[in-house]
Amino acid sequence: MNSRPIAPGSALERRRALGSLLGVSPALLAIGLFLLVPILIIAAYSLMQANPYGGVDQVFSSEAYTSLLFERQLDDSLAFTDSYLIIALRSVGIATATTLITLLIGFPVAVWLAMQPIRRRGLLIFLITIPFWANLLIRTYAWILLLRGTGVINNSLLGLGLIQQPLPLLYNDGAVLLGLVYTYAPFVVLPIYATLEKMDMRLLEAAQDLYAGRLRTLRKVVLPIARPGILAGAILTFVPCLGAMIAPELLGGGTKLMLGNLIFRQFSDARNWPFGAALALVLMAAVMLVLMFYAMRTERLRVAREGK
Amino acid sequence: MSALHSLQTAAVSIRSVRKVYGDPQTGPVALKHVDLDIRDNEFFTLLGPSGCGKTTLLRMIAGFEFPSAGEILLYGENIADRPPYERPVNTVFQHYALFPHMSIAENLAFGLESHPMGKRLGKTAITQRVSEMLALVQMERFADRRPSQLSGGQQQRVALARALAPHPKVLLLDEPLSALDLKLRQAMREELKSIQAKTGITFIFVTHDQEEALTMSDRIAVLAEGQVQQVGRPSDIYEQPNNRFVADFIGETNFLPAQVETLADDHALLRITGGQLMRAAGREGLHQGAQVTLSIRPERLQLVAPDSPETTPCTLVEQIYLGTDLQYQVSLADGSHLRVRTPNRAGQNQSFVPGQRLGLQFDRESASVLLD
Repeated sequence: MNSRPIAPGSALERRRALGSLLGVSPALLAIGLFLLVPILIIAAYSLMQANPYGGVDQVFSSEAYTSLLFERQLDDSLAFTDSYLIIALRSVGIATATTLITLLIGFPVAVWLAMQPIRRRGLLIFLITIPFWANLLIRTYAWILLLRGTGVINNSLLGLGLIQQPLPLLYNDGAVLLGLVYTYAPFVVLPIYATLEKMDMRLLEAAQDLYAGRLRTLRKVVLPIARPGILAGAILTFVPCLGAMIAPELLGGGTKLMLGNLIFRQFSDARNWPFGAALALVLMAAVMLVLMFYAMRTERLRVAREGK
Repeated sequence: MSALHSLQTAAVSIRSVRKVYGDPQTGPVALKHVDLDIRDNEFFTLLGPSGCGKTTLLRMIAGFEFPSAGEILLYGENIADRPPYERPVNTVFQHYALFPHMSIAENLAFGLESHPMGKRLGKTAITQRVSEMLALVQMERFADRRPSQLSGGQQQRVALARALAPHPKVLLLDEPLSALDLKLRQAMREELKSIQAKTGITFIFVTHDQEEALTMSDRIAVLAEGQVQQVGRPSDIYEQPNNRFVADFIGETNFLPAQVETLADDHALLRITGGQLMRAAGREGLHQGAQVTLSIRPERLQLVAPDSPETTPCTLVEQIYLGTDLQYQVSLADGSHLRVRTPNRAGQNQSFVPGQRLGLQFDRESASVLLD
């Protein structure tokens, strides 16, 4: 190793700086190409005029943003409309419910996984990832086969004589919720498991030794230590749920829209690309604001606790 | 507590405890059959090599494991079936097991707040007890730090304070010094001892380090293969080991074959190879003419000029410089090797060379007869 100090501004130092820049350049390139450029395109589209045959006319217009909250009347005046706001609120509601349910299911599973002997854990983690092997669309169609009026569940219950009429299992909010919980449960299990796996299991013994029963041990030791994993799982569920499209479309019957469906329709049936682009940008901005606010708050807490 | 009371009731009584993992017939046996009485206010050490069952026994007293058979009495009350959080004993864990997400003060308060008594105690009393404990281990300045910001020795003190905070009846210490470096370990020994004296709590200390056991304990139980080999004061264990295992495990020793020459009421005279007579405390089961093994410590042997009276001739094989001591290895006429150790004093012990013929002088009273 070369441990001689390098004079600042020397040729060697500049070469090293260049070297490290080259080293990270693939990452910068990927971020630029796959993140920034698409967002810029979306932003540009949102500020153009809709072409009734799809696509955009390259004329500046802020109409897309105006129509988020206002409806243009026949006399060209603007009137407030809450129809999109309601869709947004319903999306937030369903995403919140999905997140809570997946946490309730995922946390115990993650705890159980972390308690298993190391030899068995590999296999169990592998089993949890199996659903990812099949396309989400196909898996969601499979739910239709299970839930519909002549589906597996209803036919079984009818056959057993437990019910006389098929239950309305499909095409409602419950079915959407089920589909979303099913899709995102692994995203909750894995990060929580990752934090618990690193936890020293002797802490549980220490808590019990210090008179804490199971509930208090869970509340005061396991939950705080699993907190980063729980938050990561919640974000990984909540954010994609807000924009989810497949489950509401297929299992919800497309009658009650969520933001994802609304955006999708602007690019398909409605042929209003600028409005779709504006919706997508606003959704992304809202999510980012919430996450940034949260990140700043945890950082402040950490600084208050640990200094630095 | 009166002296009479402490004589009557042991702090912890282990009665016929057996521990088998898995199948009771074929599973591995951790403890075969253990009977122990640990007195009130005692610094008691469970000493043994790894796998001897000492940690299993400690974990059973704590409540992390349950005996397959037998009773564990805490001041006369059988606690063998109670969960750890219902036992008035606390543990200092080997790797401290401090809660990483809590400050030092919060760690100390945890046991007090969890304890049923804690609700009656109230916040101010808990805060007061926490500062009391921090003062006891001289960690007041670190109350608001996190465990990860402390050194190993500091974490050790916090672990000790945390375990003492809820006023346990018995404190269990699971090899608490093994992760510290030598200097710190020696300092902590004295500190543990003085804290035990100050608090008057019964300490049960698990270690595989015989020096730790000898220097700190009031009494020691030596364990091997799931059984108690010997219980006694450090000097009993060191100077009158029961059997070959104890003699060998505690300190260094020489084993000498000997024959019982005469038996008296309280002692026996034994003749060793080379014809010398040794005197040792009597034991049950000895009879005249029996072949036994003697244990004699290296520091009880002396090297003198050859052909001195009352010596056994020997040849110096090797000399090792240990700093505080000099250690010699000598061979006797029958080919057996013995170790001799003398303090390193100025101007002495320098004059021997390997191969030199010397006389070996035995400290007559310092042998002990081993049972096997």
